[in-house]
Amino acid sequence: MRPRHGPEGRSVDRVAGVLWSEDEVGRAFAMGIEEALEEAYRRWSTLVYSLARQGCRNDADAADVAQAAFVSAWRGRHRFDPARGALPAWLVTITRRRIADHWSERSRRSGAAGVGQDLIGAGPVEPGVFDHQLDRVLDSVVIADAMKDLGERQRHILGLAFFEGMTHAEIAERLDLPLGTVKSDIRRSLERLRERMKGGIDVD
Amino acid sequence: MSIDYGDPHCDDDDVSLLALGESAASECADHLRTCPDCTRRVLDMRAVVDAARPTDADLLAPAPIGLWERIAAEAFEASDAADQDPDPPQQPGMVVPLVRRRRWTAIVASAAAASGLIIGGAAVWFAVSGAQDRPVTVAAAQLVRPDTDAVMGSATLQRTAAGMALAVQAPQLPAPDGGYYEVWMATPDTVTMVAVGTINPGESAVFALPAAMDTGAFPVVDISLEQFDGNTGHSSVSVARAVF
Repeated sequence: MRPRHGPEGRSVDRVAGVLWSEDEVGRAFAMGIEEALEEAYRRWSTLVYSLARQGCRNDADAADVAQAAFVSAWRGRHRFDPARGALPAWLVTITRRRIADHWSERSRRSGAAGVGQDLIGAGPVEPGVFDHQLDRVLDSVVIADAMKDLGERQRHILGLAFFEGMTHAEIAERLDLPLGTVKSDIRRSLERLRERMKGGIDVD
Repeated sequence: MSIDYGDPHCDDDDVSLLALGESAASECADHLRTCPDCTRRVLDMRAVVDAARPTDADLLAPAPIGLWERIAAEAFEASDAADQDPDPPQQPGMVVPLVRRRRWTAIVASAAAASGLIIGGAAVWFAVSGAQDRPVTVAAAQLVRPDTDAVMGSATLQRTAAGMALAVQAPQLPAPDGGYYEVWMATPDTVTMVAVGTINPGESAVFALPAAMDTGAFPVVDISLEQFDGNTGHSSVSVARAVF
């Protein structure tokens, strides 16, 4: 497992007053502690559902696939070894299988109904294309997560740059901060995000 | 990477601004036309910006409302369906050897059997009354460091003549570095926590638990690193944890 957090320490989330590290969620999941499934859902449902949407190209099917992924991960938890990999990576593997199941079930059904073949564009996403989208989803999930770990000021500044398209000069004026402070905050924040993206979530 | 003054390459601040789509200092803009290294640095950083601000705004989509309820209903209510697992078995190395709770069950059952008690169900372990001459172990678990899994010691829930007690041995705790360690018991969701006392590294401690405490509802033992700051709440720095 490559940890999704940097060398500065383990990444932790505050859950109703107490901390669960990613490892703790994984171990509790493997032990069958029900709260761990809820915590896994809280942390990684966006990842699983977004992947399912990329794989299914249909929101309703994606919801079914995401449901099947979480339920089968839970039922198969005795095969998840926290010492050998991170829980989100395992969830990604299982989500891919459920997407494949979805398409084989569909083609089986359309075959049985005598439809012969799916219409063009209604079949599975080509593996190469899906892998590319998978990487993009993973990067975005990691970055969204890493943003939460930035200091409040850094997160605010980066948010203005990313999502409101403000220049560093505009940000400096809006927040009444020296230009150099905004510049170096942006640089440091982007460098931290880049490190986290390199660490990523390790999937095979 | 920091660049020395006088270095002709673009400085890191300019690389970040360019990645965000801003214009950079003119000497950097000129330099970029001829320097593949700096061009690569900008592109690398732009990949970060693109991941944060994807062109297809719905690349990440939150799961629809109600999905959790569907999952919980299927995962928790149909527990007998655990065999309906669509994934193929993996190599033996992937199998998690034992669900810890089972092991504790065995400990509890044998302890209770030794004292001649009849076991009727899980809740009974904690509800059995009657003073014992010596402490009976009701549950035991290893204390592990949450981030590394290193074994830090053990925690034992005991029934004594005087009531319930938590015994903690933590020989592997490092020096608390100006602070101190506090032992907590918590509900499984770790929302509700009870501070049971402080412990020093290398020490074995036995904490008497409040008579009114439903110990079965607090299966998590947590040791936190606290500072002498007057704040009585959990510091959020967990150094060891066990689950009964």
